[in-house]
Amino acid sequence: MEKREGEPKTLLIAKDHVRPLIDRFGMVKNELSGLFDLPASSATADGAALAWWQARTDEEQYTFRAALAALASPVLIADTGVNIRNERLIDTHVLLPSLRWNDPAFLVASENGGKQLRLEYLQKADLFTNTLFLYLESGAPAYTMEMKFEIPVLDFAVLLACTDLRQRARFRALLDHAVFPSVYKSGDIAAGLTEGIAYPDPRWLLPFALPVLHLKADALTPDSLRQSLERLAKTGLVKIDRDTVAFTEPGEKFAESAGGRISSIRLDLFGVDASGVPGRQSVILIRGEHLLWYAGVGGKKADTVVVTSITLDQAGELLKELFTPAAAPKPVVPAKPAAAPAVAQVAAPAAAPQKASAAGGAKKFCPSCGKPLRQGLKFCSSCGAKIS
Amino acid sequence: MQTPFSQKERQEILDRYFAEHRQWLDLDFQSVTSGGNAGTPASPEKDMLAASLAGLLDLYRRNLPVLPLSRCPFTQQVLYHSLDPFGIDGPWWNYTAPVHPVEYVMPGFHSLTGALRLQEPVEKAPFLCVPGPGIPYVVPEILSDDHIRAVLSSTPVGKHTGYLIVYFTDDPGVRVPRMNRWGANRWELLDRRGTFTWGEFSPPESRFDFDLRSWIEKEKLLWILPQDSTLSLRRGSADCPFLACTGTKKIQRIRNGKLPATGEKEDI
Repeated sequence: MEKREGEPKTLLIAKDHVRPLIDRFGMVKNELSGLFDLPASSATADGAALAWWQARTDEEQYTFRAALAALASPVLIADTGVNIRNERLIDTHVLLPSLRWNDPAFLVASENGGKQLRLEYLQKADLFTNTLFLYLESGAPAYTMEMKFEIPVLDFAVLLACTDLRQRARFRALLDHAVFPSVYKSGDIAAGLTEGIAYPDPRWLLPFALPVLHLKADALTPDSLRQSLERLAKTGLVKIDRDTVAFTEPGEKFAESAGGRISSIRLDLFGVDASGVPGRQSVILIRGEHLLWYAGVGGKKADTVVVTSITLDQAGELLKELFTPAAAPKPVVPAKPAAAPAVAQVAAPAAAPQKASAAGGAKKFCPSCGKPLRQGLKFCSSCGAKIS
Repeated sequence: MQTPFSQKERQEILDRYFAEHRQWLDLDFQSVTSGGNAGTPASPEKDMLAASLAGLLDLYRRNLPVLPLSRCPFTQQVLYHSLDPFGIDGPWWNYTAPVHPVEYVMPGFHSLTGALRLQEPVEKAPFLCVPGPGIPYVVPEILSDDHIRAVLSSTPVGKHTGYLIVYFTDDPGVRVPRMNRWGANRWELLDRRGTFTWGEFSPPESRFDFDLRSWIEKEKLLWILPQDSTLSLRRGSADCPFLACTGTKKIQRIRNGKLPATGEKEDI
């Protein structure tokens, strides 16, 4: 059957062929090319790679050459993990060779026990971001609420551990026909945190989020946990009473929504800007039954997480922005309803899903050249393209 | 055979090709002069030579280097394009029948043009070679478009120095015509949708602008430092080595190692 336009083209290449071919063709490499763990060139690998290359058809060579160029000099690599209804985890790398939104991209994954790379050519990057959006869109319409907090990464990990603990306790209560608990022992939180770090089971929020939290191995001590809980209490997310912890109303809203999520997406983005300067940005999106949560790792302070409830439209804009690496990835805080309180607060959910305001503050980029746009302009100041 | 071929491997292909090409021409001449086409019996030797010549050209095409030549100022993508960097006697430089792989270029690519500063003596090849003027230039009617920018870089072509002027666009629907590929009387490429396109547009040198400073200062023309393996784009006319280039502003036409005198009638 013939391939239709826009369908991904799948290519398989032995991992140890990649570097020898990149070197043989004199391809330009940048800082990000080292992120893929590819075996170095050697005389044997070079010979095998060459023989393999010469056996490819012209058409295969064209596509492989583009893929090799992208592996040698990507401008964005997005390590992506998607967890859908706690049933399956999709892990892939997205490779963008162009700074412009919606230029061709590649999906990269390991095959055959890590011996091969599977490369899927995407004619447009939005073939991938649209898929991510569909995972967030599934279920009932997402409401938004006036809730935003910025906390240290460790505190966010503790909050996720509390959320997982709450969910576990609820499952147990359901099995035991018992009342749902609302108070948790800090010792259980510590155990949950340790277990979440030790056993990378992505069905739980903390282990799912850990790869993008970049938590230092020695960050967790009894003292640091106590301090984290105290800070979470000051933020207004939990209440502490001696050695027990309970969620406040805002905390409960987050824990209930995130704990019973439909899907969650983690993105770890590595990019270089037009001058080749590298940057990194991590984002977690959690789709609850009624709310959609954004957690951006590395706000203005590198070791903090900004958590806020966003609309689907804002999530769509955010995905587009993240995959338009006009500059090195910088922390992105999506547009937020006005007057976001510093301390977590909860407002009643809107009666109907809110439309994201186009001028709501999210940084916009020119759809033509990818340069950042100044607000209020009808034309891109860089390339002159009309902005709808 | 290595991919891409080495200079020695390339020379072996070309030596065989030119020798067999001469034999084929002799046989062709004999068949034409031996009593007319209608009564001429089929020549198995000529057919074998034709098949061998086609095979040699295919070998040349498949092993031509596809080199990193420039970088798109809009997307930062490196432009990989075929080029015979070993000399202008390779059929890539055949003006009327260039031999090259299908160019599979990135979305921002518009045109690849160039100039060549020749070092005497020039290679002999039995085809017309038109490598452009001896110094870099831009075509104002192309570069004036708001959606077009150009990048100037250099590359050795055998003992000569090649100047590449690559035009890029941020608008896939730009209406500015593509220029003929450097050294060829046409342009051909395969776009990302897999559509093969080609065309012809070659303004005379009277429409070239050799004064690059103003284009560089307007940032319509960016440049890459010679031998910069990272292909970093540079702006501004300070330190731009291409402003000091000297050479002919005439489009050079070479056949059998000779530059025809002005006004000489060429057999194109």
